[in-house]
Amino acid sequence: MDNTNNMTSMKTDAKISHWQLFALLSIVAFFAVIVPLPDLLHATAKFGVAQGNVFSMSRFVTLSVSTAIMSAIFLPLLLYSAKYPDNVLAPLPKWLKKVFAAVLILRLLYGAVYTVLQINSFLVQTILTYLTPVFLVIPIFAAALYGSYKGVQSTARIASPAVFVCVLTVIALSLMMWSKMDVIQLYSPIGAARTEGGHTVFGRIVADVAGNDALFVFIALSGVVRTRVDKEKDSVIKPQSFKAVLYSFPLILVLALWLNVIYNAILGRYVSAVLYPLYVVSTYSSFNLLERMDGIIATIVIIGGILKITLFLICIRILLGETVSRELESRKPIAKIITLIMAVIAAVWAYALIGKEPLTTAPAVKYALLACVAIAALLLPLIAVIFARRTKKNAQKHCTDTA
Amino acid sequence: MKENLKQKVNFKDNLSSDLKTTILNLKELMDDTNDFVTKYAKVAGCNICIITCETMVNTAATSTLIYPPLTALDMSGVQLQPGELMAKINGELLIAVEQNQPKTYEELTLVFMSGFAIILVDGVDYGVAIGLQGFATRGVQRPLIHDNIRGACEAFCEVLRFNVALVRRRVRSPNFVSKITKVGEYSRTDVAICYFKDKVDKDMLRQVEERLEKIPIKMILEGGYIEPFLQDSGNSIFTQIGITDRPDNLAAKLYDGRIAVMVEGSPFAMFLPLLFNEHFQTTDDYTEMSVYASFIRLIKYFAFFLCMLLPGFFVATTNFHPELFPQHILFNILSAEQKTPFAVLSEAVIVIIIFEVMREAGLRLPSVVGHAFSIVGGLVLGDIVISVGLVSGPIVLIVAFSTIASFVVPDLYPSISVMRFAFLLAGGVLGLLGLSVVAAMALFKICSMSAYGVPYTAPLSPFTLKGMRDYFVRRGWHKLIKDDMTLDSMAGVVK
Repeated sequence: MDNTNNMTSMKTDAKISHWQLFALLSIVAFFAVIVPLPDLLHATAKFGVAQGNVFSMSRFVTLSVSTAIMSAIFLPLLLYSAKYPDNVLAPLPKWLKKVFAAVLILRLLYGAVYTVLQINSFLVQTILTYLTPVFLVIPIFAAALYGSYKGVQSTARIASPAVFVCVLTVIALSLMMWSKMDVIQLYSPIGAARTEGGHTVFGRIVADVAGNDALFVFIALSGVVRTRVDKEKDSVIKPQSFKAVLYSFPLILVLALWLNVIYNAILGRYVSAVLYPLYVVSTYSSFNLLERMDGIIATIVIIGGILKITLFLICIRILLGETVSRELESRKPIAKIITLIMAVIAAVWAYALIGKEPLTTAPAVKYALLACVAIAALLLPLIAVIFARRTKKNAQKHCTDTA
Repeated sequence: MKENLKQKVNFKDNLSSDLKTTILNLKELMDDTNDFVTKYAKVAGCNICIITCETMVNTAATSTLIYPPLTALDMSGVQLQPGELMAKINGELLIAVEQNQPKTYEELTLVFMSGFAIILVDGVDYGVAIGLQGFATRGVQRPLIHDNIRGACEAFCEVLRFNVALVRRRVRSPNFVSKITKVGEYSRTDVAICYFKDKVDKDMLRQVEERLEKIPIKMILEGGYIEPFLQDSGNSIFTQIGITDRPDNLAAKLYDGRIAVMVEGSPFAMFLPLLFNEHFQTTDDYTEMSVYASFIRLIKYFAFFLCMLLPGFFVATTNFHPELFPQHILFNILSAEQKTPFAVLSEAVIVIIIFEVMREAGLRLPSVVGHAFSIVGGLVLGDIVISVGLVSGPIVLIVAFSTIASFVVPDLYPSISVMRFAFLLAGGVLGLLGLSVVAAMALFKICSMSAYGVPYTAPLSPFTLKGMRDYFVRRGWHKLIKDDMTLDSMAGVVK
């Protein structure tokens, strides 16, 4: 593969900066931090308070280890994207591209469905206890579909201020709850992990790694990130997408760890008994006019979820464009129809799963998710590098022959 | 009319060298219109005719600038050939600065209707048009929609050339360029494009010129007629073209690299592209202390969100999430709501519709009945709807406050009105979920907008640090002048 960007056919305004990709990845990851996965919550209900203590001090261990694993898993992809400006699917032959794209699309669709389940679970447990599923699924997918029609630029432009709002909310919450925080309630994370048992902690680490959506978003979007042209050597293009991951990981880790400090310092051992500690903590805070801050948290969760689903639909369209036809990346009617079909499939799937979350904890689903991670993060970059080198070699040979 | 005349004489035809034929053809072409005034005379042995459009020409100027030199020429006793006379009038006599030579009936009728006096000489197949416009106009007055406390109080008027002059007076730089073109096949309205040649993006200028050329409307009476044709997306509730009635404001916008479009007959100038944050910037921001200006600007942003979201949030909270209210406020709301027959959402819809009707009526009604309207609308209606128990006090308070807040950002009023209603309905039906869904959709719309390659949400997103010095707050002039910030220097601008 040569170093020229294959996406030049795309309009320049459809490209995003690496800062915007950073914001998008951060929103996806932050959503997972504040709204834990429903299967974990069901595990809580199943095993009882002591064993289902997701947000206890052991979370420091699980977060640190899972972030370290994710960083290692991301490494091949980062190395690839630091060298090549296109996404990892670009150098593959058509048939192989289709196979990998199918896996990624399926995983992204699952991610969209799962996000709806997360929002549903959060709303039903907090502010809308009698929410009818259809009134959740239709508006959420309608908004996400509308957002996907508006393109990746639109979503990226929302994401940047959204990250700022999320960070600001955490800071505001910290300041408001400062007087209620009691550091005596914090205890050793290692001790907590030992008490809860290696099997439980390992299970959570696996769940964190398997449920990481940022990986798939990065694969789809790394090709639409603007490159930087080396001013000294005019023709050398410097890819920038990898920087987004380098900035996003530390930010999310710091936010997640700090939130866990807040939960434990305020709620103490009671943290084991709550499903959404951020919501519970926010109910203790107070603006003068508003009794509680939980409305703001709920709004952030809903808008964050819509952004995430929108992003998945856009990623699906980009992957389809990469494998089937470039027409599908545009705003042409055919692209809109395909996105509509994808949204309807995800909506029906989500509607069918609402209220049956334990299904998502089935071992087969977990293994499938882990397999997706392995394929996307390890196998795909490896094959891509082989094909990219082969293409480059062929191109050089062709040049020599012609000369 | 044009088609009927095609058999005899056409607008595209050249003028006849026979004076009588030319006048007859003109009268025929203009269907013997009443304001076609002719004055025949004999000067230096040649028959001449002066044509003017009644009330479009300054009669005093005509009698002091045209008649005396022609009379003096005749009195001198020289005898001239028609061509010599025309050359003398055209080249030697000092009458007026604005002067041209119409050669066809089309050219002649255009200058005639623009308020020129046209001198025709028997035996010459062209005329001399002299700019002596003197039609009645409204003078320069105070701004109507962008009034201020400190600074100039001059506003644009209906005469295009006056408006260009008002900007020129503030910018004595050779870089300020104004080009006038005619738009509208029937109205042939003068439209001026103004810009700073060292600041404007040439590609954007070319696009604006091309779009103006392609405007299909035949009658253009105001800037609003051509506005949709200059926008990238015609059906958005947020406009991408700014409107101002202040020449100082327009000069500042041009300095940032924008292009102004002014239409003859309109006391408003359009500038493009417009960014979202510009709705919150006023002239006073730059004349007041920066701290105070920043404070006011933050208030404006707060008011904007409040007026859009408050009714919807109130209805959503009352219906779905009452726990968000402090207890004593909740009890007050409950006791007020118990006395009314309608649901909170219905009450809010009723009150908003009443306010919108009153606003619209207030705009259209003659000013002499304004006091009566205020009493009936404000006191009687407002008081009675609460006392008879149709709607509750809190709802009236919320909607009234939201309406007042919406006037803090007057340029966004149309968008706010629509969005407020959407938020209200969504909040009433689905609570915070509905509000969030509509908010997300509105954000998608706003963030997807770009005009001439400039993102509507710049410089906030895509983020440009330099742009933040005049966004939520206004930094002091020492900081603002450090480095000029033009449209080109913003992140995300596509050229």
